[in-house]
Amino acid sequence: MKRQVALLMTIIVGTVLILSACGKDQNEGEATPENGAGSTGQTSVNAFGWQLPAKTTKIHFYQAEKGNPDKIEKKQAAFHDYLLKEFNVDMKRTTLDVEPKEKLNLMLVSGDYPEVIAGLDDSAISQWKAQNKIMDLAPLVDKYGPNIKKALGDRYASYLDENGKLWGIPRGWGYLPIPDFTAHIRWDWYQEMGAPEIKTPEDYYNVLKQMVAKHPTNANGEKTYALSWNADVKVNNAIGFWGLQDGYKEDADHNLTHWLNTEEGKQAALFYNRFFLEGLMDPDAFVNKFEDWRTKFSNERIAGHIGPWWQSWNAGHEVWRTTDPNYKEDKRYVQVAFKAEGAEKAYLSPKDTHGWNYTVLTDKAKSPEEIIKFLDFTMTPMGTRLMGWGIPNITDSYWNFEEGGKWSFNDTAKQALLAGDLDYEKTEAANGSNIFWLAYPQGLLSDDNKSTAWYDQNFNADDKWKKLMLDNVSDTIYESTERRVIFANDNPLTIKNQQIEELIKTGFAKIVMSKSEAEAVKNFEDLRSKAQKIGLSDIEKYRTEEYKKNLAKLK
Amino acid sequence: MSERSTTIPQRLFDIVNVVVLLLFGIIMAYPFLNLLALSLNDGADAARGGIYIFPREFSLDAYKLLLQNDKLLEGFGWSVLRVAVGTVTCLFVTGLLAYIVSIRHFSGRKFMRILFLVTMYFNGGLIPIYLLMVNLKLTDSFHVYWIPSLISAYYMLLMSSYISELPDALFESARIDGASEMKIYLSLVIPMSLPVFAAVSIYSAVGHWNAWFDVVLYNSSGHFDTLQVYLRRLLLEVEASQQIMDQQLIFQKFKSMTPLTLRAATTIFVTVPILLVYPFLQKYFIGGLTIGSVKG
Amino acid sequence: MNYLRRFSRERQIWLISLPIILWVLVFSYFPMYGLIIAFQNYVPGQTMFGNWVGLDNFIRFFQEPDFWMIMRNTIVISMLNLLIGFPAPIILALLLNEVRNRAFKKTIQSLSYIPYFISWVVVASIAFTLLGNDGIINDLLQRFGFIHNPIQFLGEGKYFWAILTSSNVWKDVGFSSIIYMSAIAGIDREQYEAGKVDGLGRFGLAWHITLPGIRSTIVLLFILALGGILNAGFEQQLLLGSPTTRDYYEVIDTYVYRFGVQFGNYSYGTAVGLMKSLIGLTLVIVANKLSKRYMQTAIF
Repeated sequence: MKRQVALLMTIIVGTVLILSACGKDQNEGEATPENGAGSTGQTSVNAFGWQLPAKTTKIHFYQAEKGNPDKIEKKQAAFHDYLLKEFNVDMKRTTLDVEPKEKLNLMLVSGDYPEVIAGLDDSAISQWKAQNKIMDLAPLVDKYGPNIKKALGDRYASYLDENGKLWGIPRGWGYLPIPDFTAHIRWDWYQEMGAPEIKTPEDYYNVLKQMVAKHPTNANGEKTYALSWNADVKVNNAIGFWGLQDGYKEDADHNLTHWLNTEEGKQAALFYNRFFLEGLMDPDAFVNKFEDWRTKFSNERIAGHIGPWWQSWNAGHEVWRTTDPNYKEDKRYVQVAFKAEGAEKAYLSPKDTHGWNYTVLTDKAKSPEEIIKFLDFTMTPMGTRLMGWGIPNITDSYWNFEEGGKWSFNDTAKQALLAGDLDYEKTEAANGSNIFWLAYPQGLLSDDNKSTAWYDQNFNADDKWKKLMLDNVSDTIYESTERRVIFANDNPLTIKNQQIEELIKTGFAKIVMSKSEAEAVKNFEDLRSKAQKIGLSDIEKYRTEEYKKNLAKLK
Repeated sequence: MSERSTTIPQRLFDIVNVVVLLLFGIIMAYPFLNLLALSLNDGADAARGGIYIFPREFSLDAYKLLLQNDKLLEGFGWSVLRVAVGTVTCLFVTGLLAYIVSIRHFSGRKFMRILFLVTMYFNGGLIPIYLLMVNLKLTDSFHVYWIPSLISAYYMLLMSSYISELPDALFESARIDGASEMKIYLSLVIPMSLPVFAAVSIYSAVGHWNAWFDVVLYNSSGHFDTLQVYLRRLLLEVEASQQIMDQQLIFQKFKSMTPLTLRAATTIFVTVPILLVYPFLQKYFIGGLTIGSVKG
Repeated sequence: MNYLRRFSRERQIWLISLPIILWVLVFSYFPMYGLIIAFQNYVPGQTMFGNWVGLDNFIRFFQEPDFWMIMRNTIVISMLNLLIGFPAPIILALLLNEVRNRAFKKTIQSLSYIPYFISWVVVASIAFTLLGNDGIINDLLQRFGFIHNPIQFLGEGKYFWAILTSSNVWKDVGFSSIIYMSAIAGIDREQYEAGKVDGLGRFGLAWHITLPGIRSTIVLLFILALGGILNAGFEQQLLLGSPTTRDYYEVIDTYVYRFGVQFGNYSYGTAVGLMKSLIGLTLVIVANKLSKRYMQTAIF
């Protein structure tokens, strides 16, 4: 027995030592700097007008978001090689399946962080700058970033702190007028009703009610509903039809009032309760996870939807195209909009043009000026195209690029996209589209005011259904940059704000699921008084102040 | 079976017991059967829902896709190694500790027990432990899987509660014969405590097999990714992105989401190996006989 | 003098203990300096020895607007887990012990620990297909005419505790029963023979021999379970719960995570954790005392 155990232990420990040694070797092997094309010493300019650096520019960065590292790895390999060969830039992105906030904190305390980090938000920036771990980029941008300044234009100043320092370059900024949230309607059923006009929530309600009356069950005999929701429901957008902007009403003096304190908000909440009272709302509306909801949706059990534009595609005709042998293109949902009587406009898709977050250079960056130079290139319209659409001129390219700056879309890919047959996984692994998104905008590019880094959003006028959607809802998209408000970690209102948001999620569900209108009104009032107790008026005040500050700043 | 008397009420009990346990077994096996059915179904069809125990449109595509991922095999290797090394070392050391704190005349017995009991309730939190691992150079290495989990206070208590019931006189006489404590542990304690060693090794093996947090935290280089990590990554993709307002970003995520059937197939692939551990160790659950023979 | 003699007798044992003590000092006790951030307003990256706020983080917890709600939920859910979840694996082990057919016993045993491996994400989706408005259970109840309208099992708070407890039991019962199976295996066969000679039937044997035989394991695990009374779960709450059942699912851990840790407020999370640990350890010590006095078993 003893000898056996000892033997087993020896074998195991031996194996471990050998294997972990192998692992280390592998690790070190990868860490040695690669010698790129430019190591010959002479510099030259490539087809994009990019001056090849004498020494390979290394941009290895951590992107602070939760993602599947295996997929990211697969997607960046080809583009990495391309950039190294054509630009002498060695890019490598690390995205982990760890909570990004946690990882950033561990990086900060252990001192083990890369030269470049993408995806820091405002509170992370303040944390890192307080520790002097990130660089002020303003002097570098002044010297090496003419295109960054040009692209950002007047808004450049809005990224500087009170001392005129620039701690991060924004990612995904700019105005892209595509909808986020809309109402949806089952198109073929709507057509067979004679497509009555939908101008108000009331009309929408009546149309859906008739639809459900006509199609009370699906082919399997399961009950249909007018509306359903899943965990992603955003109350602020659902009440946008009543003229509230991201949950707030604005008066002439730019004072903001939370929807709980408005008559419109109450009307909106009661409107959705009516669906429930008449059995038109899926009773699982607040229980469904996205996939449960998706299954219901694709089983033709839901006539309408209020939510992100893509959801009814993903759960609707994109499923039916493959499962329904008699599929006709009319069998789908179309995005529509309407507004309540008395409302000036429906505000459904707020667009914050400030950007999602920032890319920073840490104090470990060895040649920050070289990194800024490349970021500067990606800020040029053609640079953004390259990063957004990936490698040009190969089979799986999204676009073709010729010397001298002439470019066109790859027609094969475009037709596949319009027909709905594009195999994203395959093409994007080949061309690396949007895998290295460090600084460039998602808004329309300045040279043609038409193209955007999101490849699939470039043909909205050519796609019959997207065009229909845009015609229907473009009026509901609005710029909300001035309403941007930062709830920093050290702000005592941050917790209050979060508590109120949680409260509203629960309270809104309760209102909608109330068993009578009187109960719904009572639940609404309960919710309001509870929110006020936590400090809703403080939040209103803070938002109003910040809003007015931003208005002054951005004008 | 004739050793037991078989009166009618006892027969009845047997029947009821078997029926109850059979139902119980079905309830327990259901999720596995459900996942199996999903994994063997056609992907587009599975999205329609309504699959319970049998696939509706049989297809092996999910498994074909699964096997294309050669990283999974590597992950399998690390998982097996982790379970083997982690379980054997943990069992050996924790068992030794459990024996020590079961020796009645050992003056440090209570001290040691409390020393470890406290660790069940207090830990320094994520940041200090992370820094410790970095400073000990345990990050980016295989050793982080077994060294920090060498001793578990919980297992110590489980094992010592078993060892304490063993006849003390046996160890005393071995000591008088001049046996060292290590020898007593190896040649008496372990063979006589096989049931609890088997039970704890199941717990430990399962713990090591299911672990993912320390993998992604300490070995973010990906060189030592275990199987469980691959599974988690797929399941995690489904998590909705509540904070992101920009729908284009969420849309991109959902566009490349791993299909339900592949997730089910991966779950099966990751779960089956560890399910086999229990039946294998069950044969040690007959320790009573061993004690008897030692005594005799 | 006496001590010295004692020490030399125990020299071997201390020699073995030494590396073990070293290990626990390094891996468990040394990092405990991190607990002091409970008395600070710590921001990662800063020093861990400044920005003291005294007991503010503890006081904040008691002043949370939902304090009573989360305490009630935590204690009720824990109690249910203790009352139902604790005896369940013991009963399972006893029932399995009565099975005569080895292969059947082994099969059920192996099946019983499958749910332990199914992640809560999957469990939640299975719960939905069973308990949703169109789920199998509502379907059956309606078909047999027990109800007219589907019951909102997952949408109404009053069902939540029952659903959570049963899922917990379902997931853990087989896995937890393993230790009892091993304890039963440790019971001396001769005792059963003696019992039979004394004329005990199968129930008698189970009651007078099997149960007392695993008593020390039961007591040990019960004392430890008492110490965990403020840990009422985390992931299962978040996945099985929904906005409409929040008043019933929110427990200390989910709350602190959501309103402290997610905002980078590690101090708050640490303070609440520290408090939970102190209460847990106190409960264990008291339970151990009581058990020593009345049951003659103790864990230390």
